[in-house]
Amino acid sequence: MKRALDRVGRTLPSTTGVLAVFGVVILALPTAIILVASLTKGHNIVFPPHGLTLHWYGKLFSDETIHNGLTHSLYVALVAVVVDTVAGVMAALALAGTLRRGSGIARVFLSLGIMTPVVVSAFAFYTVALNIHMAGNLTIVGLGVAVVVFPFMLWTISSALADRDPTMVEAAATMGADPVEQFLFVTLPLLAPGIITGAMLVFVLSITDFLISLVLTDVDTQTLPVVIYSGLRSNVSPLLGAATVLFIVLAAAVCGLVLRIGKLERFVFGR
Amino acid sequence: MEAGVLEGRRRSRGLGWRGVDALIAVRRAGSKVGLGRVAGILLLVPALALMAFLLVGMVTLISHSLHQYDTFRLKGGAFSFEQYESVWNDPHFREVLVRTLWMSGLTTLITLALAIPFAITMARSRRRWLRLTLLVIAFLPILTGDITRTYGWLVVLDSKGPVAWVVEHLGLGHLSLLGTLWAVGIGTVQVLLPLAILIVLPAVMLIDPDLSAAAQTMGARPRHVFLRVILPQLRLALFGAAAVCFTMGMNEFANPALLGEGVRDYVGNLLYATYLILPNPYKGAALGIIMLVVIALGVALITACGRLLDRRRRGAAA
Repeated sequence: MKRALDRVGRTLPSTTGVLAVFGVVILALPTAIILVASLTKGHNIVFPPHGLTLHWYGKLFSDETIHNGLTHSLYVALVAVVVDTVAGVMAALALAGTLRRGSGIARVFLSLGIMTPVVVSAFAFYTVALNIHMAGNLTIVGLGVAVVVFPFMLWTISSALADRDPTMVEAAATMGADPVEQFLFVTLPLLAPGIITGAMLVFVLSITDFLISLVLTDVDTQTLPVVIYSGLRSNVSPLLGAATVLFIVLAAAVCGLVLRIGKLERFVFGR
Repeated sequence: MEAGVLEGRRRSRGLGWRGVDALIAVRRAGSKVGLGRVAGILLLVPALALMAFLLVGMVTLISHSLHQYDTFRLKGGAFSFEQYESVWNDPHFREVLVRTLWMSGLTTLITLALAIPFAITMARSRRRWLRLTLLVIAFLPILTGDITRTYGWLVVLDSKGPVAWVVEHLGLGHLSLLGTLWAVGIGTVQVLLPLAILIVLPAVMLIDPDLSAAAQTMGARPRHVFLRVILPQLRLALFGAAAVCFTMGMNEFANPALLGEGVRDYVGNLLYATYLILPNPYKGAALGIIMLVVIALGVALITACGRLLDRRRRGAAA
């Protein structure tokens, strides 16, 4: 047994490679298959596909349910981005500046949205919405998503703040800049990439939000993920695949932008 | 000095600069009144207001879970623990809870087993395009959202899909994975893997290659190098990743609902059904609180195991 294990051990480097490939397949296969599925000719998705067509993408723009769903999703994302950006910038500044000593606890508290299960948070929002008679209201959905996604904005801006060169602000001060001017003309521009990165992350995470929208919306205010979910329960159709591709394209765009603006590569690899 | 500099600048100003001057005046007035400390707290107000939305809801849920509920008249009743009793004594709940716990643990282990090689490959690769590609592959699924991932697996694992096609052409017979825990598990691993990689990668990048090289010069076989040299350096990150993966595994909703085709429900699905379909929101609230407690206990257990192993190692070294 031991000798067999040693033989396996000697090939361990390639075991790493095999497992890594396995990981890549699990991560990338569904996304790739969705692209193929959205181009399928028939109403049912079979492999190999009987033929390829762009028909479903055309139907995307004419189908009313999907069109409404997309509009609702965009609105929810907009609300979440605006709320999270304002709250996030202000909170990050407060935590890095005057409130630095208690900032650890404050950060954990502000990350509550991620620490509770989304389904429980969704129903927490639901009870509040019911009590103020705003069940099904899309702004409430936006606020709920904003709470759950807030930590991403906070982390992004906080790390941008921490990365910022402190001597820049000092240099401005020595040249007579008032603290207001220091903030407006030195700090804010330096933070801009971080703010944009955070905003894009919040945007894509809130436009694809599923569970909170499922609980908080009703039939008239469904967001696109909920529309797709309802459709999936009856038939896995290529039309829904085309709608899903929207999300993939959006996610890929944000990924690319975050890599360029957000210096993600340097953050992850340190090179 | 300040007054003189400002006087000099105030003469030829456009509208924007006037606004800046106004803000400066406000700040000066504020600091005379002692607004400095308060400003910090004021800045936190929007974020705190957001959290208040969640907190008020959670408190309401806790309160609901401790009251009776009339399912006919759809109204709340007197203080009582009966919601908790009703949930805990429900055999269907127990079945679902065990299923969720078991699957969360299993998928966590599988995810960690896949995350380590992935992170090692990313860290060791010398070509920038490979690192970037792996990075994008790892993080794109997080951004595409729950429904996108589940839809992908619905197509991939379908009995007419690519995996079944390959299996049949290899002569291994018919494959029907949808509606089984296998499908739900595979879907869950895809959700957990990016997070595990994200947590393990920093630790993998900090692995000292000299230690592995030293071990090999002293005759250690690759298996030993991995188990005794590399893995212990990753221990902290692995337990952190395990805690996160366990939590996210317990939170799964879309995968059990769609990939399990309604017969492999997780606790989250049961909560949804209890709250909105039964409907008994008070019982659902109790279910939610129990879910929170179970997850917290699980995370505490994992963290405690990590600390225990840490202490054992230090004891052995000493």
